[in-house]
Amino acid sequence: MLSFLIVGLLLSSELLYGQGIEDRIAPFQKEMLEVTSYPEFPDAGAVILSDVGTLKSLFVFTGWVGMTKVKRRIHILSESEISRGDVELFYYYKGGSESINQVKGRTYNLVEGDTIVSELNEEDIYSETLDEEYARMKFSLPNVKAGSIFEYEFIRTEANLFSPSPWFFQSDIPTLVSDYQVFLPANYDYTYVVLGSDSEKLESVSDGNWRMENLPGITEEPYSSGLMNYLSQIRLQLQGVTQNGSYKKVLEDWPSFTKKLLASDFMGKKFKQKVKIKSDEWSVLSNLSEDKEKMVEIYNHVKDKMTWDGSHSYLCFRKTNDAYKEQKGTSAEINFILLNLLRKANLQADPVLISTRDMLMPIKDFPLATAFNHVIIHVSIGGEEYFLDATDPQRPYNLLAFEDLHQIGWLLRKENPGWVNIPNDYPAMQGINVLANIDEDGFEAGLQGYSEGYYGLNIRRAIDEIGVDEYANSLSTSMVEDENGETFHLENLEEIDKPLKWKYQLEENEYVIESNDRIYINPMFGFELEENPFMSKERYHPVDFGHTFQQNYSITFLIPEDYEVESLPESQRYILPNRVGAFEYVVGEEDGRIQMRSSVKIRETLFIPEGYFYLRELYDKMITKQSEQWVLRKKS
Amino acid sequence: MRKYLQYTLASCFFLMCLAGVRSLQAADPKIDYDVENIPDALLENANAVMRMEKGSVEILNEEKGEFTRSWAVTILNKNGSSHNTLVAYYDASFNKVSQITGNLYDANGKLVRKLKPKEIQDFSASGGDVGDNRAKVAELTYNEYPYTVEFSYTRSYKGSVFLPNWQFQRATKMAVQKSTFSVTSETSFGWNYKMYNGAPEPTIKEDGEVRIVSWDMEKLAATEYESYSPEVDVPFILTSPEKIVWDGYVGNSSTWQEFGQFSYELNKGRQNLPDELKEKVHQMTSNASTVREKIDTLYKYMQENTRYVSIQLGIGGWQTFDPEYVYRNGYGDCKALSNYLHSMLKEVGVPSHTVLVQAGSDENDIKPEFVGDQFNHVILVVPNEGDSVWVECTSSENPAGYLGRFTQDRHVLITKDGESKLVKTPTAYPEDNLQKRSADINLKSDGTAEAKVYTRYTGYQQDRIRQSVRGLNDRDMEKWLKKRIHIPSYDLNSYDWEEITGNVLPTYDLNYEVFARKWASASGNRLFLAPNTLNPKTDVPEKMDDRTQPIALDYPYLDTDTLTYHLPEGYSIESMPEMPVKIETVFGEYEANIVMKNPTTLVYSRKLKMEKIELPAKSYNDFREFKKAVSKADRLQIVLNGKS
Repeated sequence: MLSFLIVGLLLSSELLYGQGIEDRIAPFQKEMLEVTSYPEFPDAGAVILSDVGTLKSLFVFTGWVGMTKVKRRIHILSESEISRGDVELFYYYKGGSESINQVKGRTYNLVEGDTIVSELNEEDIYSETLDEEYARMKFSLPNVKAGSIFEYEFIRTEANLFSPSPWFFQSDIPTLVSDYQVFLPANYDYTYVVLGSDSEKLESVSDGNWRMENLPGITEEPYSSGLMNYLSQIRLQLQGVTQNGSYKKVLEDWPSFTKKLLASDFMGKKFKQKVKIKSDEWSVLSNLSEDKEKMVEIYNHVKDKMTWDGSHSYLCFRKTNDAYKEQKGTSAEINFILLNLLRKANLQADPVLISTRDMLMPIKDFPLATAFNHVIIHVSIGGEEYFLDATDPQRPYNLLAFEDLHQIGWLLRKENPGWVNIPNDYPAMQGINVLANIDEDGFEAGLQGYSEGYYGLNIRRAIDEIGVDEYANSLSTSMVEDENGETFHLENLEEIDKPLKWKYQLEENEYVIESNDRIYINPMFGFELEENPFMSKERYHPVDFGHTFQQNYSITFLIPEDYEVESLPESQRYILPNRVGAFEYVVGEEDGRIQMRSSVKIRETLFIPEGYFYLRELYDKMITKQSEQWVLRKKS
Repeated sequence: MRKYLQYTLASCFFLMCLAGVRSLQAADPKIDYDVENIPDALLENANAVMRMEKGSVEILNEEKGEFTRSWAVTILNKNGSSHNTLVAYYDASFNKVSQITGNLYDANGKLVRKLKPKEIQDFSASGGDVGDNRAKVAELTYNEYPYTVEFSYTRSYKGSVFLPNWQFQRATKMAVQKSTFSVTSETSFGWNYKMYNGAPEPTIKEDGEVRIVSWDMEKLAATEYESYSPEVDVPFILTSPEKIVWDGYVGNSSTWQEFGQFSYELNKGRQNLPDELKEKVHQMTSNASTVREKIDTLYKYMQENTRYVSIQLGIGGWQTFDPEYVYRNGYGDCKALSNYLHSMLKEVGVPSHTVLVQAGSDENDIKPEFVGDQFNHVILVVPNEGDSVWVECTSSENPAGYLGRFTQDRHVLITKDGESKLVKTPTAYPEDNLQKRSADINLKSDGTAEAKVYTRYTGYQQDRIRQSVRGLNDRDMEKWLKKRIHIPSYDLNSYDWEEITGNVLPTYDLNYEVFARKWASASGNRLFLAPNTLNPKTDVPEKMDDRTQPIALDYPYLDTDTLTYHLPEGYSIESMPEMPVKIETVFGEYEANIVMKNPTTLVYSRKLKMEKIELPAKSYNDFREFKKAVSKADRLQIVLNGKS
């Protein structure tokens, strides 16, 4: 019904927007086509010349709707960027909540000194539904080449003015001007936040009109959370409405937000719904004597029973028991089942709303459910706190999904609700021990390792994907059979709450070379770090490891009788400022053997760009040290 | 019952007969899905077992038909769980998918639940294209292994360029207990079929005006994917209607000439150039004296003024947009762009033909002896006795005459009025796909180095590089290069790249200078140098004692590396592996050498040539040994001592 009505109203939209947009940016001029590069962005292959958005509110009989007219003009400088002329606009069409209309576009080219304009034809604009929620509008601007300027405009209508869609001033390519203006109902009281790494550049042109200029393009960097957190953006939020002379607050504070969610059909009410677990299964779980044991076994029951459908959600739209019966569900369905069973066992369990790493961090000023996209479970047993997320059968109870490690979450409960820090000190530990010697049969080494927490999880996943044999092959291609005829021995592959252990033996290989009465030894046997993960000299966003970690390597090498040490590297220690991390390499000779230990520890997860230099340096030191070799010489 | 059926068959019209046949088929006894009933031999190596699969095609008339697929698969463990999903692809303009059913059974074959209609989802399957491809998807999840899912759906179709084909085994690590395929039609309906890879002979039943052709296979053990193997050879059947009917167009596929003629007719009359373009075309080629010059000029014009945009709606999946459309918009798909160049060439008197091809870097060749639709792409050829020029019209970069891995070395159908024929596109040799590198390295006693690296790429190797770097801005180029240069830690000081035009093969030069914070490893007086820093091939395929699949090497190339090291003063070689290394095999050749040109100049040279070749499974161990030897030789190290 709503969408029908909007279509009717669109007829008058020309009138509605008038000349507003054209006033705020320079109209197209031929000189624009003569520019071949932009001094602020000499490397750019394409530049957004202007991006202008105007949000207007319209009252329809169902209430206020927002209509945003967007007009974007892009200059293509390099041929590799011409596919930017193929535009896709995605929208949430379910329930008529969003639509896109009035698409227009044109391309300007300079041909022998003349401007040639190619209009986008209406019949070349296609739209299709992608699934039950999203649809896509797709069109290709005509005749886009290196040097072209094209522009397109459209109107996005959303049936909600409570939290209008954010306006992004910034993109993956440079933006010269981005201008956003809003016309909102006079009796509506809005507040806003500005986010992003360049947010200090925001300029307030007039009331309800913001502008940013000369913004660099922002792209992904390794070890960081989602781009969403770094793109400059403005987010409006309705906080109150004046009606008949009296002001009514509509944006809640966190306590009332909590109360409301606890009463919601899709949240709090779900906590009370019964999950019909088989009585024999339940009696096994509930008869455990320790509370922690109960928690762990209930967690194991849910994670093994349920398959996650891959979608994050903090609300649950069907009966938890329906999901339980189907053995499949969203993250909210699975974790609400977990919550129900934990409470059924009289444990103190509560949901924690979070936003995953690829999403925007919750804005503490806006008590909004939409700040979150996922829910995990907090359990408190005798003063100990646990965070559980049962969406992956490979993950033990003491490990959250890596995506969950996004700093903060809202603990939703009647008594003492509030922000909690998501722990970042989950186990991520790796240890390798090597015992090697050379005798009359030649070189021989036994290697064994254990991987705990996230490291164990990663290996288990790799083995799931490629199989044990190929995983072993990736560690070394020179493994030999041990006395039991085994080449690669694995322990605890299925016991996911225990460290994964492995061992194998090596004989002659490229790490130990005998030549001219000398033996050269590369003591890391392939476990050295090969490349610095932080290649860039500069860093634009903070490094966010998500969790702390530690890697240890140690080796004992028995020196052959007729040899002696000629040279060993020096021991070394590199400690990050404030002792948030360290690399250590200790080597020495004693009683006819060489002992070495190499370890790296990172105790902090967030590194702001200023700390980046040291982090990069630490990795450099480690690479250099781990590649140093030992030299033995034949006794004379 | 039987008598009654015969009576109906004889007396009523065709559609009713089909209904009768269907009810007969539905009368199959219900299968017991208890996992106990799976023969032990089928459990070996399997993550899932297809308990029964049945495909039946019912030809309603020469333009319409229905394909019903029903199957039940037992999922033995979590690695087989992807088989719990029904995916029914369809073309929204010509197909309809209906009658989707699903049932879930536990290990004992007891029904756990039925699929609910609201669990069936409908997705776009066109990817980034504008198109009609969609899919109905339904999943039955269960986490107590083993369990069995049973699905069926019917897809009706309108228009017959092709009929459904059948594959008796659909995945690796999946055994098949029973698979059957049948085609039911009027006896007068003409169609062809052919069996491959051990698919059985059909049983043919004729009953009055109805003919049923059917195939049965039982007990196929699970297969396993083995690296470096061609696509696993499972038994399959190709089918094709003799008469083609498509959206008002009629043709036939009794010979390749006829099939090509259909495509030709479909696109006939769509070659008119706008006047403005006609004029341009003549102007541009007025100075061209040879056919080749005309091709190069017009191809270049097209490359500079159009881009590839895929739009496949309705018959547009088969029929080209006309040149006016491409000229106006500056874009088109493979058909439209091929037809565009074809029309421009025609305007200047150069005959050319559009060519149907099964494109893809890892696609198997089509079956040349079986006439039917086996294609997914269109290119253009300008015939010239023995030296035809092949043109990939969707490329904005290739020189005319270069096809690349996407369409090289395979059977293709040239469509030409009255003379369509199947031919092979040219193949590539290692020497066509070069990576030729030289480098100058100033090595310091602390292991750091300044290096200048020059590399020329041609053919396939050039494709890979250029697709990634062409037009990247500095920051992205730096990012890309940093991923490719495997020096442990370094700063990229400068780089440049250049497309070298005028060669038959596409050629690209990429040069850069780095400061490596660790090129060699320094310990005390010594420098440990692995001279092949830039191009070590260290992958060794896994050990396999019972290899069953052949080895297919399909990426021929030749790498040469010459690295000149300027050593710090006073250093000499303390230890060096035995040189030169030379390995010659049927798979390829390898050579490496180290020469001291003078006391401070060390030259490392290396050559690796890989052939395009297919060899039987028993050669696998030799192949692994070759890769192992290369890997070892590529990691050799030299010890330099500075203690004079």
